[in-house]
Amino acid sequence: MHERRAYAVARSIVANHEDAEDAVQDGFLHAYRALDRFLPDQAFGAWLHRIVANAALDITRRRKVRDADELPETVASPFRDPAEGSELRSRLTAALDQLPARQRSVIVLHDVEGFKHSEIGTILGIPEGTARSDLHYARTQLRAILGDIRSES
Amino acid sequence: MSDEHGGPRLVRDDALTAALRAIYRRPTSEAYWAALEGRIMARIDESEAWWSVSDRWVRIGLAAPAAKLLVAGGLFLRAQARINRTLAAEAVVEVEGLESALAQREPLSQEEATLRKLTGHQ
Repeated sequence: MHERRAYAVARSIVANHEDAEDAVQDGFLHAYRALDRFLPDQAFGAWLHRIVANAALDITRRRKVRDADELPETVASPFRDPAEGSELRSRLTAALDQLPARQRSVIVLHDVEGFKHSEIGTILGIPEGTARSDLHYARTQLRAILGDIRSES
Repeated sequence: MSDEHGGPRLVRDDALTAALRAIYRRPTSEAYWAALEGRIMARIDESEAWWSVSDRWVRIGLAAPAAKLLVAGGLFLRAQARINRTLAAEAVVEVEGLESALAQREPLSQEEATLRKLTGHQ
């Protein structure tokens, strides 16, 4: 069951489904190799999620370097939903891309996956208060986009 | 505005949450998760094999200096034994030499023999 939550953590950080899968695999491998450093009084899930988050951040960094050298390429995801082509979705996706990466991760982890602020702080290595303020700013930005779409329709 | 945590007040927007959930929806198929778990285990198995090979080389790497140490230790003990034997042989030679030197001396006079007896020097 750990892989589902791990996927959610990775997906909140990376840009697409394929990168999230890679991050989950890398994260589990790193965790396996680091098992001797896991302390029994730690929460296993939080420990694993932190490792997966770091793997996802590594992939994001590598992709940034690679994308700087290559032309952007669209990868087809096998998990498209029927509303994917909708105006709402495309504009919201564009707005998410404009958010600072940490704010995007925080809003996805909180609003989509239901992690608590303290858990998000642990996963992303930030203070709980920072997670709360990131959530506030991310929601404000995205609500403004949604408001524009609503007023147009 | 702020909440009880001292940060900005967090206002939930159900429409926004629903839109985000549509974008970040997880795969729902059990077959997908089983396949992902299989890929994770395969990566770990590959890594395990790599570690085993690596571990064997590490063991070989450690064994070689250890063997050298044992050989060096053996040589040291042999050298020590040879030194001890040499010293013992030299001591025997010295004693034998002294005894032969004493034997070659002229017999003690009666007076000298009496004096040695009294002082305990034979």
